[in-house]
Amino acid sequence: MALLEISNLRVYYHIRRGVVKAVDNVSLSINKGEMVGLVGESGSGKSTLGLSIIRVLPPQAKIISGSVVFNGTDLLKLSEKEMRKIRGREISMVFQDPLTSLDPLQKIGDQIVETILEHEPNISKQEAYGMAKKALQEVGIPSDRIDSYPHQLSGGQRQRIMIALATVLKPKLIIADEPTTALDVIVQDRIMELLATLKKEYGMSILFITHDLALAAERSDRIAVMYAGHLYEYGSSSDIVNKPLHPYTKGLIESIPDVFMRKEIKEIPGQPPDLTKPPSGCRFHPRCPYRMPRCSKEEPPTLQVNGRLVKCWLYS
Amino acid sequence: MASLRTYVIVRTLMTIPIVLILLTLVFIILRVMPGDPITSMVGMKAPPEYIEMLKEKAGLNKPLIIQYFDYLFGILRGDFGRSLIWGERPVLYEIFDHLPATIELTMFGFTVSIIIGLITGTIAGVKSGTKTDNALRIYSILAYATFIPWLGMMFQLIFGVYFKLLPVSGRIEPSLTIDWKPVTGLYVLDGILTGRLDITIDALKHLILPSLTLGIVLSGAYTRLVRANIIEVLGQDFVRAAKARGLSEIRVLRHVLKNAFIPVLTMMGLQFAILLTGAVLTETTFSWPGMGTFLLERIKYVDYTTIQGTIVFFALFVSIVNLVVDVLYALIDPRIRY
Amino acid sequence: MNIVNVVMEKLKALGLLRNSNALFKAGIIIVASIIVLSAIAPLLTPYSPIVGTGDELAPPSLKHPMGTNNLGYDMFSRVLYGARTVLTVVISATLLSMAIGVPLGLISGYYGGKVDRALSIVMDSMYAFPSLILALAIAAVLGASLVNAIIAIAVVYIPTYFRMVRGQTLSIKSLLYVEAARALGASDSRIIVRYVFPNLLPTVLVVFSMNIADAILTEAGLSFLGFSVPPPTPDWGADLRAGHTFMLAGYWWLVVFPGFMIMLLATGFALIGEGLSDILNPRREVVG
Repeated sequence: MALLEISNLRVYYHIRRGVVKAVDNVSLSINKGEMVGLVGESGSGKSTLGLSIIRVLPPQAKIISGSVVFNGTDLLKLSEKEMRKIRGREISMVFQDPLTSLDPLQKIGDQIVETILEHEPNISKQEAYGMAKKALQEVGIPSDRIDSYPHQLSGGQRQRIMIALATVLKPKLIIADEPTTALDVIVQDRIMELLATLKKEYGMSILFITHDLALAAERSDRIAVMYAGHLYEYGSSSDIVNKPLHPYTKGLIESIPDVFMRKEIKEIPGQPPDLTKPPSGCRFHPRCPYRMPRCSKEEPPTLQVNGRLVKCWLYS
Repeated sequence: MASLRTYVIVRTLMTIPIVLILLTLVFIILRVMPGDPITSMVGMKAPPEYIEMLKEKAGLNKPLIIQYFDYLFGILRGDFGRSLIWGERPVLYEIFDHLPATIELTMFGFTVSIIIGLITGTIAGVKSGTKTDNALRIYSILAYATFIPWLGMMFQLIFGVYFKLLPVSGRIEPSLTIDWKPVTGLYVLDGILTGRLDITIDALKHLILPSLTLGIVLSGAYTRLVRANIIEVLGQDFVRAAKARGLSEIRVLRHVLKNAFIPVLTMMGLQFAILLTGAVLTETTFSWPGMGTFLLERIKYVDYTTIQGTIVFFALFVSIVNLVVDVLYALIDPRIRY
Repeated sequence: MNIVNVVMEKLKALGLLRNSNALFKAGIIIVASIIVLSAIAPLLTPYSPIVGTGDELAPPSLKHPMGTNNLGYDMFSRVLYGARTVLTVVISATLLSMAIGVPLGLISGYYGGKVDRALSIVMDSMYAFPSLILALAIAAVLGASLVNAIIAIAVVYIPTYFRMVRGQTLSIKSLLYVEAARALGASDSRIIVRYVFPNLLPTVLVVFSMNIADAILTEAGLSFLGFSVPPPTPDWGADLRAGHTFMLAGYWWLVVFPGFMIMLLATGFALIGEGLSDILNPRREVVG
């Protein structure tokens, strides 16, 4: 059984202009101990999907329908109190900007201890401090920095602290929303390495949300491609990268710059759509080089092709 | 790494030029303006020799520059001038006679305004966008726009004239103070210190209406500020990240409040100036014998030197309070360093 | 309650009532009404605000809707004409304040340097000082008159405009497209006129309205303490001053109406300011 099974999830935002269908009928599963890369442009709904799993959406967002089954329990049916027990403990989240994600007024050690004590009130403060120090060491921060404030550390260090916060209680699933986007390439690599080590050592699953397909492909076991609120392709990394089926995935791969300049960079023409008025039928059809008349009229079903999921009329 | 100590030292040093400028401004306004203060005071019919003598006493015959330095060095020595009317009493002493009354009033008024402001602001901020929030916003605007003397008079009308529940003027029932000498000047405290609880209670009764008046009007500004800060902090990422770690609502709220109240602290310091303004108006309305009434009385008699000394005192007081607030702010927020 | 709902529905249908604009509209209605009513005062009351009617301390009645004071002046008339006094003083003072503070702030913010530093310290010191007491000092020295009240209040608010304009100028100056314009050789005056000024306008408008609200209270404070327009000029603060002792004896109408008007007019301007501020700084919307 999969660790996390998302089925037919719909999440809409209510803003002044109208209703944004950010996640529209998406189904996705994550197995134990695997890293799934969730790839998409800005506005594709990938972040919303991540936030929906642990239900920390902003007030304008509503989960309309669907289910998110984690270890046999539908998270969407839990009360807020029960949900809080899951957050930080069974499922953790790492956010994009570590500077603004930490309370600037509290020492980092205290922030970790606070999380520990919230979930394990019976542990003594001293024990919690010990755990915090160990967590810092695991992410490569010298434990003497436990009394520092967030603004006294570098961006890379802050992100490691976020990861320490997320892993100190050894959750089963980590949702990492663009964890390296705000960091430079070298630091980025180290953080990815850290995540991979933690995954191996503790058997954690990771949902790695990013706009960078190449980055996702490097370390993920499987890759899910989202666009305009729909999931268009989902399969193993190697399959997706070497033999992409969906036109959008193909377009993404072709637009990846190649360091050795062996091929041209081909852009995907057009713009992502306004999600208050998404295109009819397949939402990608206005930009698709393979579009058929059917594509603008009917939304394509999600089909199983060679062990992959593809949402495209080309394969029906 | 910059330390707290460096900050305190630099900030204190910075106060000096600010104070100098304020003092100079007061000097300019009071001496360089047209009109002869002495003549205004004693009237045109006084013998010219008398006017000359008073002018001599007030030091107005010396060249302006000398007057300026006399003035500055005098202040450094703690000499704020002497009254031209009340038998040459040093202005500083007269100020200390009236200061406790103002301090007591402003302390109570300030407390009321903070309590109202923090509570309403937090509720409005946490429930922003709802009807409660809108209602509280309107409350804060109305409170801010209320003319202090008018609100005071409304209270006097209701509680003093119609329902005769509370006293409407003064600090204390005069009959209670026969054979009684205050210790600090703060009657509520003094009553306890001298074992006269009846004085403490009576002083409190006299404080109710003026403090409420002052406090309600001042709370308007706090409500707005606290609300704005809470909304801003709630939108910040670390709140979401804290929720994502499963922290309880109380714990998250603690983070929010700590971050939101810091700008409120600085505002409290800036508000001090407004507090003084409010105090002057409240004192006049309730015949409260404090600094405000004192200053106005002396202005009416054009007691030139006293007016100058009092305003100088105000200026210094405000500067010192601002300094203290800034230092407190730095103590709480570890990011404030030079 | 029902009538209110019906009106609201109508307005909503016309698309006129969006949340942020409600405050603004309410403020405009209040201020406009007061201005109009005071302008047509002679049509609304036959009495002069400074001539005794022979009826002293008369309670509110059909003849005198707001009663009369101890000198027999009709309070309704004094309230209406008082609006003229208050508005004249406050708007003149604010405009004067802006006329000095805005250019100074622009120059200081744009050119920087020693001038900026010197001006900033002076303005900061003035800003930290209690406004009423400063105005009081100035008015006391100059003497009680309409013009002097305007000057006193104007001086008090110069630092407000200076600081705001200077701050905005500094941030606008460093905007990329302004730097680009400068790199292309635009002259200073052109940059100020074409880029800085238009960007200042929204904030200046908001500060202007909030400032008038504040100035109304300062003017009332000044006249309540006896340092604004001399009697018998109709002025709300002055009426509070004169009527205070009588109020304590039970003649409540001498102070309730004028004082309420102060609050109403100040609220009107404050609502305009709040509404404007909401319109110009809409809350961020989060998407996907």
